[in-house]
Amino acid sequence: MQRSSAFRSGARFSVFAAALILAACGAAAPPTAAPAPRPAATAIAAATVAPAASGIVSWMVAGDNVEFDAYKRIAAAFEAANPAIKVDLVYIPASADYRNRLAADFASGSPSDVVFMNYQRYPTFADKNQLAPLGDYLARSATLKESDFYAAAMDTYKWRGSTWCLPGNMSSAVIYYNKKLFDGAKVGHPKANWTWDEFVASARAISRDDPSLGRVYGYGTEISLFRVAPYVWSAGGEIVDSNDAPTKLSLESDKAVASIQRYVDLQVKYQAAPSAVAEKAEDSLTRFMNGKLGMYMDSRRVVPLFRDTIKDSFDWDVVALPSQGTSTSILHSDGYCMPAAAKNKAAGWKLIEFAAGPPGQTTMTKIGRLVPSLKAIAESPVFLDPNARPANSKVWLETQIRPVPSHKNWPAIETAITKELEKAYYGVQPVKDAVQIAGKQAETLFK
Amino acid sequence: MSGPGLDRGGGYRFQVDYLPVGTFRQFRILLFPFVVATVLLVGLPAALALGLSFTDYDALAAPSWVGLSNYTHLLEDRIFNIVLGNSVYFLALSVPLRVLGAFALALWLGGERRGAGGYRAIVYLPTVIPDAATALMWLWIVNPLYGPINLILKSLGLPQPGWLADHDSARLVFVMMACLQIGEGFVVALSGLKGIPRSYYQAAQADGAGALALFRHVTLPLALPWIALVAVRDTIFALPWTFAVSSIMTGGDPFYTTLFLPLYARIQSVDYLKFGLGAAATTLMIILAAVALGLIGLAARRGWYADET
Repeated sequence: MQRSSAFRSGARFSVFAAALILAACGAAAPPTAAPAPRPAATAIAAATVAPAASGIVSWMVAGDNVEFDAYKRIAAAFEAANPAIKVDLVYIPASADYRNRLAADFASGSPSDVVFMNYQRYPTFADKNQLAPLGDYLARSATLKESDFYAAAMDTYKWRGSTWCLPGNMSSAVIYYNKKLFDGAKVGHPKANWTWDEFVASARAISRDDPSLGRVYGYGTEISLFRVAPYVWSAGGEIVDSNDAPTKLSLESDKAVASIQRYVDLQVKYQAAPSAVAEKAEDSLTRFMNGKLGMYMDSRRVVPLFRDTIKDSFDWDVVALPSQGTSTSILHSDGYCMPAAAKNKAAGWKLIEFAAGPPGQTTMTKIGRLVPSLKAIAESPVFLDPNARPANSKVWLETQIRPVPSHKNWPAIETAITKELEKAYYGVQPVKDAVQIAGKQAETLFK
Repeated sequence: MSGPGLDRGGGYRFQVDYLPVGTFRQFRILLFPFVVATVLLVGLPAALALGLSFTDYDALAAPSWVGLSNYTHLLEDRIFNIVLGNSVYFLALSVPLRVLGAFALALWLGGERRGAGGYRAIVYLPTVIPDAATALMWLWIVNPLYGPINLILKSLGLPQPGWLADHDSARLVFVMMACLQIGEGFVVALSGLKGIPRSYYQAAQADGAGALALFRHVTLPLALPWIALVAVRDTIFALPWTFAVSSIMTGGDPFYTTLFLPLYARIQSVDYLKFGLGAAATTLMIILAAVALGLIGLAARRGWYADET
């Protein structure tokens, strides 16, 4: 049995390795039959009768040095609490490399016992029975229950009737603003329920040529579906026909087009946001840190960077996205998942319980990068620390959040939309053409 | 003279007539490891790629046979056609310019003159810089606001392109970069030009040939096999070269204008787990390179026969 399994793993890895060679330099993987993945049900059955957790559990993580240090602290605390288990931390710094490694590991049949995955990406693997459903584990857990998590985060890891991962965080897009530039332009600081018109007026008022700073823009961010979708929802439009089982884009509706047009006008009509050339010369994130951008849209992930680089050169805070009807934002979340091929599922679940539970989320929250998905941590001073910027962290807990649709091809669909929106945002094509082309491009990807 | 040449039938041959007996056997022994490596590392994966291109394969489950549908999908896909156009544009512009640059510089710097060695080193230097470092360096060079090129253009009162931010000029940046890394072609060109016997020039000069006639009737025909060699080499390496630089500098932006076939194949395969599509794109890239090589062969033959008449 063991030999057969090793052979299958080896054969599948050979296929994947050859495919990688193909992609890189002009070759591809063989059409030899790779064996079907192990059914997830087997994994659960095995876990049910598994003895007490022990042995080595491998855990693959990504992130910068600060995050890696936090993961190391979590691993050390976990080992101290579970002396029979040793954590083998696999660290891949860049997220793109992490995704490649994840795919390679799944293809070779030897993924780590615990992996971290964005909610947009897990359906690709769940669709192929590569993940072990975690619902039964959670139901039997003595330390965690589903109601401990915000539903907005938890629900996004439920797909086709199963829970596939536990949310490690629950961030969303907000507006970061530079108080000094607002004060300099004699514009009042944004308030919780501000409207799109107030937002545009602020951005236009801040935009100017400054003798020492050069060109100052009111607003900026990278252009993507992730940045536009909240405004489409806010205006009453939709991205797709059905969030649970999408079959086509809905961006051609009047509400969606009008909303995107308002967003595009910021750059094309009002020049209150950097042009393509200005963005290429100095991206909006850098401009904000250099005090040359009034407002910047992003998730919680930039907080440690802002704390570290901006320091006291100017005061900044966060506010909810401006409303074009109903104030809505977009979910940013990563979850702890267990591959169906995990070798040590019992210890893997213990680690997920620990990392996604209060000990792990407290450690990760302290570095400032994430919004906890656990209510108890999110609503505690660990997250709502009044002495740490941003002062208005509660905005992440008060905003209505929506996820992007769950679909196995979603990353490709999102890229197709983003590229067309980018053209519209930089005035290369009308919004109507952009959404039409994106819709056509996405048609085949939804199949 | 030793080196590639054209036989009277128009086919290539390697002139090694003066080599002592037994040398061919030594050649074969020396070539053996390279042949084995080429078969294992290039031939076999390429064959596997061809097979995979007829399947739907995501590396998570067994491949399933889909016939030609990956190819028909690609050829009907708007993005792929943009990518194909970008790749043809890059090949058609960069290869001739690189060959021209290499031979023009070899002609200029080939003679014995004061400081010639230093100039040759300067020409070769950009080639030894790793592609990743070159990409990062060029990101600064073509920065539309702070880069040296636009600062110079601004100081001269000339219009400043957006370079990588502008879909009209972005592809051109990659051609410019490729044209500065011509060290290998330059060395081959130097070697080829130095191999032309001085007596040929002396004989032509005695017949009253001027500089232009010497170039047209002596240098060019005798350098033709070397030109073809450099062109073939550049054609093979041109598209794979774009992979690292476009990944680092643009990721294919703006609006797919710097997305070339190798990066496209990687995105389809590794990012979207569509290895069948990636394999089909790779196979089409190989076909594109083969067509380009065929055109070079055709041009070389025409050049040879034109010289014969």
